[in-house]
Amino acid sequence: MSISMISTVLSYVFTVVIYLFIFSVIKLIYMDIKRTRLGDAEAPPGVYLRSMGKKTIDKYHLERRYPLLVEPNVIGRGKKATIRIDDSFLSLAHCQIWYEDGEWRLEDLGSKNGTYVNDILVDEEVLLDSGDIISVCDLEFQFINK
Amino acid sequence: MFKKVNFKVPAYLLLLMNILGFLFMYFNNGSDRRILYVGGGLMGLMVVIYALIIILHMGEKFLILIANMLVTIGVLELCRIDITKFGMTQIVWIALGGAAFFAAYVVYYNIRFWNKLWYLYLGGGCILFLLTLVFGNTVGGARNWLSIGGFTFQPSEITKILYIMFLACYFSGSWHHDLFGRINPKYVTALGTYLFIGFLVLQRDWGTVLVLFILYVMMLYAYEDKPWFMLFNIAMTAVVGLLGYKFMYHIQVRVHSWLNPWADISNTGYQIAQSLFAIASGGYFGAGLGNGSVKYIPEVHSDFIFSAVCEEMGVFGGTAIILLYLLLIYRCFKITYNAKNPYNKAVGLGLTLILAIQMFIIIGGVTKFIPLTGITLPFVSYGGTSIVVSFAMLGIMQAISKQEERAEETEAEIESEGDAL
Repeated sequence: MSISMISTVLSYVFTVVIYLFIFSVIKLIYMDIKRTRLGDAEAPPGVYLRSMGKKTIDKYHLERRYPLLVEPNVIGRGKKATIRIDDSFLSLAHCQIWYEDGEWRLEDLGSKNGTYVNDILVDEEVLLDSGDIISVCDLEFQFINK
Repeated sequence: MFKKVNFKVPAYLLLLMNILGFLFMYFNNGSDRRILYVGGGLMGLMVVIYALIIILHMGEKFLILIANMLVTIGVLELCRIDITKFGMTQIVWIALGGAAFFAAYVVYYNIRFWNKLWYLYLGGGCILFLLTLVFGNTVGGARNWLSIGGFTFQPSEITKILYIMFLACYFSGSWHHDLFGRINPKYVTALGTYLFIGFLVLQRDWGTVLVLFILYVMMLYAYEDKPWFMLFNIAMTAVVGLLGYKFMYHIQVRVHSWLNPWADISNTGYQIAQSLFAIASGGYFGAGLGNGSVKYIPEVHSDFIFSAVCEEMGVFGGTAIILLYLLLIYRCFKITYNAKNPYNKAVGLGLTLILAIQMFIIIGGVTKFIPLTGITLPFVSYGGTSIVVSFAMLGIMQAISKQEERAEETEAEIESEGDAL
């Protein structure tokens, strides 16, 4: 292969690499906007999960707060989870929180490692009060409802 | 839609671009070892800067990544134009720029009374201008270089930052007392603006005049409720501009070579015509690094670097630069939008706008979209002060993002403590 041919090929490669870079940045920014939009528009104000523990927050790139929607908020690792966290101990759909008859409720969705509210294992639907600690695997959230 | 949020992908792609680019240059240029040194140095600097941002939790991660991509494209092109003269010195400037980035970050982050120092910015700017007028060197028709002990720099670049901070004092609302009990600060800012612009006109630095003036009008547009003051400023400038066009030969030449560069192609239209030839000959994917004939364009290392990139990396390469700028400016707008502190907001807006304006003026100029005025393309062009000051601006932006992040965290903590009780 001659130099000129290599250089032609490489000029395509450069372009592709630059555009991949641009695409990956746009992708990250898109995720950012999506989260902000969900948080701003559809969530009732003052109801959210607060991430606890600085180490786990840094490890899994957690948000400080996850606003909760009225319809089921699924915590999990899978595609359909509303609050999606890349922790390998988490089930695809681990547990869900939703609002019904004037109460915020939590239910385990048959997860492998279980869900704990205030250190008690959840085996059926529980009602949440502000300040409750929800533990899934090594993640901890505080439920805040003002 | 997307499988995984991975913050490392863009950083790895940036490194890949560096490795491929410099290795290719090395083999294509007869195994010139200096290219490897430049490439290695650049990659080292980028890794150190990015690692420091991650380790020290300095907030926003994208700004420096995008800027580094622009710098990479710039350095590759500069190495190809002239390795000794531009390529190797650019690395030194980027190292200084990185230092300026962290210095600006630390200084801006830790001092909270920037909004009370308007007289300092105005005075500092005037002193720099006076020094340039008295001791300055004339390069390319503009008397805007200052040399101190063999170290040459352009004070007008530094006054850009001073000017933004000066404007922000008024627009953020933290400077609302009348001066000497009777002059509204609005008129003081207007006077300061025209003082700066006057000095720049004396130096014949038309590019910076245009940048500062558009910045001022845009800030007025963003902050003033009633449009009359802005319209008055625009009208005044239109009058002054028309007078300038009538009596200044220099400006006439610029406008004529914009309207029809082919009329006097060997003389006044030469620059713009060569630039257009270069862009046109690149095609979609370009001639390949090192295969173009970019040396025919005058000032190719600073003002006309965009044409060189277009020739050697093609239209897609040129579009990539514009896209990278759009992303950078978008991120800056986002930081500005999220900022709660009014002074931070005003400074953020000013910095964002100045980046956007510079990019628009010079890319528009070299592609014959608007009349050409010589300014550098931030982060890409060779230019000592330009690189250092652009990085310092980015450092301030970074500090704003971090300050706001921290303010939000403390607020959330106070709130949740209240909830728990």
